[in-house]
Amino acid sequence: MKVKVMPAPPEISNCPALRCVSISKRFGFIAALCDAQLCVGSGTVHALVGENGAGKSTLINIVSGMIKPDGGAIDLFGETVRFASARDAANAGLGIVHQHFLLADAMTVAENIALGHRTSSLGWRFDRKKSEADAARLAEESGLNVDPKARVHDLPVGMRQRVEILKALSRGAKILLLDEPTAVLAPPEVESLFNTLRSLRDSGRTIVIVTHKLDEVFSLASDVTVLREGRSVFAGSLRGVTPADLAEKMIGRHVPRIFPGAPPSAATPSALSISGVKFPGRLDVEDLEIKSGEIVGVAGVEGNGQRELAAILAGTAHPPLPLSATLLLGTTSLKECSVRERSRAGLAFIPGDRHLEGLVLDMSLTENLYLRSPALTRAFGFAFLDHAAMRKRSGELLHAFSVHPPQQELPAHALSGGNQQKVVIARELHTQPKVIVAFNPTRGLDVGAAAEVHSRLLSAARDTHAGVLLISSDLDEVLALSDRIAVLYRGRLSILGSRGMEKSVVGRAMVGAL
Amino acid sequence: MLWLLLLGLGTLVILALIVQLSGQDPRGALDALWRGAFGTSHGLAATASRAVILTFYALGILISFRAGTLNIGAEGQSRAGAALAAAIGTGAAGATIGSVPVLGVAFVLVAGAAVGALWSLIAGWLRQWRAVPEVISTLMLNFIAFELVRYFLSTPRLLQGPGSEHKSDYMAEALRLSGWETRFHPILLLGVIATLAAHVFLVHTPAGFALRAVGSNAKAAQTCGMAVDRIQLASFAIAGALAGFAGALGVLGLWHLSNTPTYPDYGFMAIAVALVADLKPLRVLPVAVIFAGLDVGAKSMQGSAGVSYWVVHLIEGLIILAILIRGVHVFEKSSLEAGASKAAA
Repeated sequence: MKVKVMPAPPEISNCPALRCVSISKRFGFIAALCDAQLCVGSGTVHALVGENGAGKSTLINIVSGMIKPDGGAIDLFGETVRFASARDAANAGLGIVHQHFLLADAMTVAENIALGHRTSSLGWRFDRKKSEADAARLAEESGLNVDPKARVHDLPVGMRQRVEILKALSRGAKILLLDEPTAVLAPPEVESLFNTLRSLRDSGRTIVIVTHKLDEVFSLASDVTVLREGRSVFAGSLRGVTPADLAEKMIGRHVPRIFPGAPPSAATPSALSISGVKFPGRLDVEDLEIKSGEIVGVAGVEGNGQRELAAILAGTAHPPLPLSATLLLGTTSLKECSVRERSRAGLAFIPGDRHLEGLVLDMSLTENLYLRSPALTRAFGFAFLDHAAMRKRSGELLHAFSVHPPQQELPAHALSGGNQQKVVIARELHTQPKVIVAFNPTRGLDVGAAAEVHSRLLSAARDTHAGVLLISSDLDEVLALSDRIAVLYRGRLSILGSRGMEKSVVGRAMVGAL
Repeated sequence: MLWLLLLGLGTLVILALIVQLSGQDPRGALDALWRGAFGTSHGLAATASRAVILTFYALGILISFRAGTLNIGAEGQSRAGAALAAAIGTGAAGATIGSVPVLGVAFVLVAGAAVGALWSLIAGWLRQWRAVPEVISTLMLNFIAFELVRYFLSTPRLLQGPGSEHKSDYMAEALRLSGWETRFHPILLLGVIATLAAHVFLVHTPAGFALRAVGSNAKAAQTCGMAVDRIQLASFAIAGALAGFAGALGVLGLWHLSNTPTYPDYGFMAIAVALVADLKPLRVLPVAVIFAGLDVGAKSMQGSAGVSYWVVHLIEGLIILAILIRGVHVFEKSSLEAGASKAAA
């Protein structure tokens, strides 16, 4: 293994709480971390930022004892530690709140908190009263109000996160690591989480927050470490640093700004019109019309009918809709159309989960690009796949959509997330569809890849006059791209207004406070 | 390919070890094994015919696995096909069908395939109707098929032949394949044809493409407009048809249907064949020849070297385990996704 010479590690003079020195980790041929440094001052909030794939999660997993590093050392309060397991890390005072909560859904809050303990007092008998009292006292002390008797599956996401934090605190965590804690929260919940974190900091705890959202970094943290391609490229105080500086350090170049262009005129014909789509308890879309060349964004907290709306439009779900419901693409009714007929009519769909719905990960890029309709050639009266034509065309498409590496035979799982999404987008957009339904099209993508997806959607709308319905839980994305903005709350879709809306207004509508 | 060689070598070493442990001479045993399977024209013919039966089973299992359905009921499906072949190939019906020379044989084979497909579709329908896992339903349908056929064979007015218990009557003269298991019969070329057809189907037809996509990620295939339910039902039908075909072929070759299966557990051995072939049709035939040779050779090894035939079953079990430990892509979809998300992290 060749070792590259690194510039001298960035220095912070006073870093007693947590210090990671020259951490390296490889997965197969990929170096996830290469000489990464992290230095967290006691009693501070430290932001660990970087694009997807920069190594943030790997570093957190190493610190929390879940994976072992190939090299480097971890100091906790000045002492070198070596964790054999996640329990070791927890016992040493590290509390981790993972992106995906690790809670037993059918159990109560108090039981979940007690589950984290491995004390002899737990023994064979579970003392419900005591555990509930302990949980209540802890909630009181930390200001994290949550009912100890509530069952986790009845709680909203923000509350579940509180339970995770309480779990960590109950085990005596002095350092709290939160991995992308705001990814699942609505704006008001984010604010309440931040207040909690501030008060935990004031009570002397040290907090490390992993994020790629820059506004969060500046509103919460005092110090920052930037990871890029597994290396720490910047570390230090946030004083005097601008968001643009940080973004540039994260991606190593300037972030392209979005110039959305002008929306289509009022006389433009409609590309997609939906009315009376009601599906009791899940979805209620009274009336929605998208013009050719227009981008309509649907904001909302996950689980408010987005999945249902996307599936009904894509044709992958056929709930019993009222007879009066209409689904028109131009003048074609989609109501009775199969998925295939819809794509022939000019509907493109970018699904919300590229691994689950967008790609067949162990098939080649060529095959993935042709999932909707393979190229055929006839022989002996039968239709056969035209492998040569598909290979040639897919090579062109991979170049046109700047997929890296542009190798047709590679299985889709060999690509990074951003490039996988580009393959999905190439498949859906190269036919110049009339309507594009994009569901969380940039989820999990880094800043650069997300910007590319955005420019593809914009160009599809403005240059080839597709009507775009952007359903996204990323509010910033909706605000940046949409000509008109709607919100889904408890299945109800309401149009709020046009471009230039106040973020806080949309944020309130997302939680039904409008 | 290297891995296949290692597997073969490992098999021989383990076999030799077992023979050694049982106090026999491993060299002599292996020698007897080889001579029994490939050393005589008789042995070769037996190996070839059994390899073809295995090939049909394994191709069906492979197509099922590639479609994401774990149909392991080749035994029962083949039994259904064999029973129908015996029913229409004997007595008055057999005389009528046998009056058309080559087409009569083809008719019996196709009828066997049809019944095998129907038997397999029971599991397919159960899966779609009530989400019954096909690993269990196909296995249970094996038992049902066996007991049904056993009942037919011991009931005089159904399948039981005159003067024999638990056996069918002999097939009409014109329907008997002569020299099956004793000299190379041209009908064995059907195994080669089926292998090529399966390859062309999977790699070069739109239906095969859809089937592979559905098997690898049904959700994505559905999102892209593929008829997932229909394709998976079709995979049940294809697997059942190939097994039923092989069942009918066995009856034609051995001239009657008996209560004790001629090719015991071949439906399961074929799972190993399909897995060793890495679910690729073109690799099935050579792997099937090796497995069939092991089976035929073990019988003569039992005779001449005194090593129990059942050692073959032990070896098969070990091979299947070795393959699963190495990892088969149909079974590791979740771990593949975990790997992908790990790489993204």
